Amino acid sequence: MMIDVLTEAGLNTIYKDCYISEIDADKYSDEDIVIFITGPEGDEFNYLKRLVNGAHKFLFIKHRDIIVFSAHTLTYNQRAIQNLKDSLSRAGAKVLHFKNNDFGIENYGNAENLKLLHSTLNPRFFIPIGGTPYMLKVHSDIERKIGTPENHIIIPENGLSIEINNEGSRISNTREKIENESWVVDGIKIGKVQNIVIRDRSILSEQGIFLIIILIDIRSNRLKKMPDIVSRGFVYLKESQDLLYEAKILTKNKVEDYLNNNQDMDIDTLKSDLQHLLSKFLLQKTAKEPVIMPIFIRI
Amino acid sequence: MTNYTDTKSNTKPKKKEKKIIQPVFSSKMGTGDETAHIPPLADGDIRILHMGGVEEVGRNMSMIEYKDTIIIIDCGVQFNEAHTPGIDAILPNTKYLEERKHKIKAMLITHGHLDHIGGIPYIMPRIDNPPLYTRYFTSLMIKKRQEEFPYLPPLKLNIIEKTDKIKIGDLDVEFFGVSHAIPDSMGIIVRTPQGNIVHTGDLKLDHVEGQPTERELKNFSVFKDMNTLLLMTDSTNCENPGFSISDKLVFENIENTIKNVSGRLLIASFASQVERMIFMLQTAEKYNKKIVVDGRSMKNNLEIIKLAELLKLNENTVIPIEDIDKIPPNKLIIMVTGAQGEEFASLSRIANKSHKFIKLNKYDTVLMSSSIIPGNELSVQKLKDNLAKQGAHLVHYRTSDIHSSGHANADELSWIHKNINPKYFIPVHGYHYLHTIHGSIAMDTNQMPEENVFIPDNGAIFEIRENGNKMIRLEESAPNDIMVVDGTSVGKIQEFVLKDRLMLGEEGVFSVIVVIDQRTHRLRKSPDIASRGFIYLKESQEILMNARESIKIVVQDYLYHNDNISIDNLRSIIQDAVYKQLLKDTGKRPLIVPLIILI
Repeated sequence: MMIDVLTEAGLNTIYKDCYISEIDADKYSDEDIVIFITGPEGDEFNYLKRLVNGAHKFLFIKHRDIIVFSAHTLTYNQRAIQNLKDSLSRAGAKVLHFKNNDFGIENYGNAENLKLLHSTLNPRFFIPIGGTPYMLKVHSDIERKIGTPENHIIIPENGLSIEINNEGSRISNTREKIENESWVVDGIKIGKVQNIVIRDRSILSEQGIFLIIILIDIRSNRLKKMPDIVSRGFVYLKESQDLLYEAKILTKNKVEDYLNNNQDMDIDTLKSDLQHLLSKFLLQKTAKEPVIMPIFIRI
Repeated sequence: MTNYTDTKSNTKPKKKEKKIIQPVFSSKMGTGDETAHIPPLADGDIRILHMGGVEEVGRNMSMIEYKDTIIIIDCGVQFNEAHTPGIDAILPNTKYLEERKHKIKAMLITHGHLDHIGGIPYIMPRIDNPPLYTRYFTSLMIKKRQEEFPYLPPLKLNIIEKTDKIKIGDLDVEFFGVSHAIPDSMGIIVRTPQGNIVHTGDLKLDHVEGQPTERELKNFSVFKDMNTLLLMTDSTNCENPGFSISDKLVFENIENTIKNVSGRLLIASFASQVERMIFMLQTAEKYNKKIVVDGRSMKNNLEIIKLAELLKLNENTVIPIEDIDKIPPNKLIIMVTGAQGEEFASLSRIANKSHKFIKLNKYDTVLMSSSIIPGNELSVQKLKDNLAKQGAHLVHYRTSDIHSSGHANADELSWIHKNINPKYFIPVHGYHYLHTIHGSIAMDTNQMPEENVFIPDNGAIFEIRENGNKMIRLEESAPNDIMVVDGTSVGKIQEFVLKDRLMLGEEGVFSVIVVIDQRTHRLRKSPDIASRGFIYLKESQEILMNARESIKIVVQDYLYHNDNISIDNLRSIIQDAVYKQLLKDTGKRPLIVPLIILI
């Protein structure tokens, strides 16, 4: 896609014949081929990974291939990069990384570049942007070093409005927060992220889920059957039958006890008591705290 | 000041201050004979196996086997990664050892970092608690950790000096001092009739501008007239060119900061950076400052340092945290844990304003005397952001030479290889890619032929045969499945549980409860739904309604066409229907768990 855009913009100076399709790759000898490979932003190594895993239709990593990592890798991706380098070296390829060779091209200015920029422009006011709060602070220090007074520099926050007064002599945060909640794309839905959902996912992935289903006969106000358990991501169920059985008994006793002593069924209290009881029990037996959901079905 | 060098360890400090409960060893661990496929070791041959630490940084454990003797080197742990959510710790796979317990004569520990001692409480009971040999400071670290497992039988700890020579079974063993981030780090020389095997443990070189010091020359002098058969050494930083920043420079910079800082100074460092901690404490006292130590692992290590008598401090140099307001800011140094942005560590709590005693202001300086361990980039970034928002001035290793790793860079490794000059080489302590780089260094330095460099995998078995003239890697490998500590369970993590957790973490769970009346052969009631981490239920009534409808339709259809109810079939049918419906309505694929109740 980028090649098309470059061509259309008239910036592509490579002869058309130099481009070959991946289907024809095996018609040429290895040392005559250079493969430019990338991926979607944030996952630039996507296609390279496929090559390594043998998931690409026509290309694969060969012994003696040389891979040049000429892009900065996102700091958050280091683990994935490490795994990728391992896979590449197991396949016999050699990896040249800009860390050790001079392949890296900086897209962003270092401190000296920025200092030059600031001194040349010599603004009255300064708002650093394009970075995390820490980076913005360091950037504001650079501006201060060339003499701009502290009250002419504002470190912005998302959603915070900044005003310059009428005479252009003052800049300030109005402290008035304009709508700032992050919007996310989650499946086909676009909207504000519901923190509770994210938080739930986080707990689920660490501890798993434990559902206990209690059937209550409306007429007799008694348990219809032994409670059922549904659990995922918590323990290996096949080996934990004893544990599950104990949990069922515990629940059965608690519910029957409650039903015998209470005419009115206050589901919420019973639910919460049951949750506490099971939580303590499971924590003691397994040292884990899955999300516990008691479900009452009245029939 | 003790004459040790000092540096970073690659161990990830413990994430939470969790109390450890007695582990239950999973009884269904394996059939009991998982290593029967491995041919027996021929008399006179030497076998080398790495059970962890050669495909990752962490959980180091190796063994050398000869005749009736097995010597284990190190017993570490690794903390969890993104692909093992919820797991407390990852252990080396010790199946091979467990099925040869009677041969294990000793465990040698090179130094006291968790990726070399952390596995001891979990693994010792599995291999019948063999005698442990290590140096004094390491033994203190091991004992301290063992206190968290009071119900375990006591360890048989033997303290040795670096000049000791001992006999273990059929083998003679010697030691030598190495420079690393923690006192009493040592390397091991195993003398076999075929030749000497050298394992350096983690190390770097004490140097001045690229020239190793007298002390290093002395440490390595033992190799001068030795014909080393096999060398195993530290790949961690082989990718970094030249020599690592010398500790002398780091110490100078830290001393300058302590001397010249105009306000309070907070120093965040790895608690395992014991050498550096000693230096900082002594320097602080030199300039008449008061020290506060905050963070459990730092406090622990301070106790151990005092116990080992590595430091003589005045009684009132270290003050309790409650007294910090009594001291003028420029006389105060606060040493904290949390350099990796760990959630509950001291510095994180200071950064997010939840710390009881320490509140930051713009006159404070925070020195982060550590690097960023791969995987922690996000939490460190958040930490720095929070610190910056409060106005504190931050100094870290990229802007200033205030940290240096405990592991040798390329040129240091080259020097080490030149001075040991082995016949065969196995790079250890790192992952595959690093080992290939390290192999190149060995080949370039000593003109070692490529076939004498053996890149290991966890579980790979190497043998030296024909009186030291041949070294091969066996076709068969020892078991290397991941063994984990998960709550109280210690054993193989079942793939399903992990996969479920990963899926739960991405998409959440959607459970569907269907009650069928067996007499009437119909649905008893509308299906119930329990869901978490999927969508915000309060706003999703329509989605739930559609899901219920689709369940009703397929269930009623099934019941109409089938007199006998097969729970498994019905479950799949429901799962499919719900999956399709939810994907259509939300574009998401939660873990769908149908439950069918027949009454």
